[in-house]
Amino acid sequence: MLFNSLDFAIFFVIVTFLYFALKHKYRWFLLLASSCYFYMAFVPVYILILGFTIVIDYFAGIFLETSKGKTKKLFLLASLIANIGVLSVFKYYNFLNTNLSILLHGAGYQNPIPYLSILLPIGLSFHTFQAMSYTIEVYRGNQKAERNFGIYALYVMFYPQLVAGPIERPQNLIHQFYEKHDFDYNRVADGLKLMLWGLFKKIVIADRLAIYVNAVYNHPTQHSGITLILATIFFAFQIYCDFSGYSDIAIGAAKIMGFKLMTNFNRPYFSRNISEFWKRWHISLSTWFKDYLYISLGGSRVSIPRWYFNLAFVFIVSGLWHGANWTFIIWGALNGFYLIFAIISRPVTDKVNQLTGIKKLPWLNRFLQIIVTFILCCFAWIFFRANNVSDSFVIIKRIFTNKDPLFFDKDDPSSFLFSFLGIFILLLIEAKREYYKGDFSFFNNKHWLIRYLSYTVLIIIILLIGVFDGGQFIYFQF
Amino acid sequence: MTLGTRIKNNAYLYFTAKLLLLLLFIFLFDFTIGKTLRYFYFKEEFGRQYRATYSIEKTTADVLVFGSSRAYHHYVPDIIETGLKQSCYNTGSPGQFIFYNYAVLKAVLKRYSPKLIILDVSDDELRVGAESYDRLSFLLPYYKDHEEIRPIVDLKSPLEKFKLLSSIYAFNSSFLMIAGGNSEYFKKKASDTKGYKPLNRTWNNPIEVRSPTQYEVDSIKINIFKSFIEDCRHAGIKLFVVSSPSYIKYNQKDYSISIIEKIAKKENVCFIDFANDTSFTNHSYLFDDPDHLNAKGSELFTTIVTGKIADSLQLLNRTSK
Repeated sequence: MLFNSLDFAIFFVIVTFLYFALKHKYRWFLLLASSCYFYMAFVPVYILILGFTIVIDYFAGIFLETSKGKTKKLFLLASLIANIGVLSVFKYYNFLNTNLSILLHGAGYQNPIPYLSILLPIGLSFHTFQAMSYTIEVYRGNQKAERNFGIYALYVMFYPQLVAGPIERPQNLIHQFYEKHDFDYNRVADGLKLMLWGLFKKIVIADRLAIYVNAVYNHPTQHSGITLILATIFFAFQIYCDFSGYSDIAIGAAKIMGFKLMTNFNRPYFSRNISEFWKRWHISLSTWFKDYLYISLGGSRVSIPRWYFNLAFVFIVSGLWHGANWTFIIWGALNGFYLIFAIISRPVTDKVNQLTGIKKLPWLNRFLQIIVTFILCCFAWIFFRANNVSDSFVIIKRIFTNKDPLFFDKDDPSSFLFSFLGIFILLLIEAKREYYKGDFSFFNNKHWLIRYLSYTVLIIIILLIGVFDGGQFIYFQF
Repeated sequence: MTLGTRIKNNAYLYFTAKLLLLLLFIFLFDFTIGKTLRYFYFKEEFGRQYRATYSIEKTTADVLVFGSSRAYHHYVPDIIETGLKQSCYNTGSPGQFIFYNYAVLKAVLKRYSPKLIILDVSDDELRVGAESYDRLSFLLPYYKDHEEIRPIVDLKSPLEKFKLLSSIYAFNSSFLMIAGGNSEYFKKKASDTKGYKPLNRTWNNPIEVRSPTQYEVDSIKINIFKSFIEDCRHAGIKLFVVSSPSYIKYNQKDYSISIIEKIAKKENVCFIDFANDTSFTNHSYLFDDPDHLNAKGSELFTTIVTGKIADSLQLLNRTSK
């Protein structure tokens, strides 16, 4: 059940209505049951896998709280092994096996280990990380072990953030299940606005851009340099709107019922450097890696080479988290490299800034920094989106060497033009939120007519140019 | 306490009242814009959408060509008209396959029975995939007034009829095409004749070699294909199923094409296969890309296929006498 489907709209209305109709003491059960239904709408049997890790982590939490010393460490280890084990089998087994086959083939042997024909359970990486944050926080003593099995299961399965985050922390979420949330008009209205904006980003921008991006990236050898550049820029906005749109819908849906989920994206393409980008992009994952991996490795309070290693390692693991493919590993490594290079080259960049006097023109300085950061992100996105590593290099090579004209469907340029329109609206709204400090707002305007017209226009744009299914396509001739 | 105050003091009532007000706004905008789009959609005078409307609601040609972009770019109606001495219209539509073709056939049969139909089939025609269902959204503008096509559009999703409560939904993503289709400027630039559009590039790359393997086929698509044959038979239409040329060397026949061939044979329908036909595969200059003939190629192909159909019709006439 996707957030941008009519099925979800019906499900959401029913669950929210029942939520407020029920007494507080029964609400957690409703949320748990509806979360199970939501998850089972994808592949029903996979709920058993989720159930397995929930049971393990629930008991691990209780044992962690009551044990000390080595035993405590062993319980944490057992929980982490169970979680990472499930993730490894479903997400990384075939990837590792393929690489083993390549290695053995190179040495003249055949790989005897069979491949698994399994589908990746939806949202596995998200809820596994959320479950791991629970046992780690209990181990660290920052969170009490949850004794109510239903509430713990709900912490892992809470349907708004079950399949695509934000990856919550137990300290933020668990206590909220015990709090009574009354129907509050302003909160419900804010939640709905956020959901609407998320829906707009997902179906007007992300899904529209995907049509062009897929047509180009699935046949990179057939496309010109300028086409590949445009497809890469489109992909940068596609992935942002897809991911942040989903997060907005999740946060908005939770907010309506009175739950406050963490902010996941904060206008990342207005970042002035890669370090800032990672503080604004997929915040719940970045902080997860920072809190549980980077700091555990020693963070920046170690020798300089070890610090660089820590950065590189965390970003490579982050790349692997996104997908079992070398393209994701390279994407992660490249981002790690950007950060390390920025640290190493800081004295030089400071000197250049001093010599050029660019800092005397702060707006130009800021603009150039944003552009450079965006270009670096786009370069890394090539690896993220390409179907394989060799395609990535073909794309990079063609970007610099092929001078053929831009590709678009001349018979029906609608999709192409709607893509630009979507990006324009996004940038306009995000730039206003980033830089405009006044209190004028379309969606929160004091005058009800402006407010209502704004909502209506957004909904009408969704109906007019949103992508509701795979029915639209670019008529692609090679 | 007035009604207004009572509503303001109750969060649920206040929310419901505001929601109703918003729904009223949305309804008014949706209704007005949707009706305007509908009006101009059916006023279009050229373009892809116009060709669909013409095929579904207006054509009375004796010979109709059905199929995807390959039909659209491969069959020259003027050549068919000269060869068969009957009027012809090409209903081929890019990216559309058996579902769309059957929907158009249903709409046509409600008005009249053409004498002859050429159904162009493509590789992967019967392959399982959500895309072919999603692409039925192209027929949504006709859902309201053409009950004969509703069961086909409903294959997309049982919720489609509820989505169509919005007047705009049927015209989603098409307003630029509607504007273009009503514009004199673009009309002058339109290059299609009787539903056929020639392609003008020349393919210079080496021939692609394909060794297609068996894949999962969609039983609904197979049934629709059989219904297409059945409906033509009932209406007394002579049906020719054609697999037109591609610049591809097949080591083995595409799985969908081989299934279609078997069904055609069983149903006693003439099937003409141009796959691996060296009159085309030896000449890359006849192609625009591996899947599409260019103008030169389509003229040659239409002449050949018209000749074969004419021969077959003569044979049929002789046998029936």
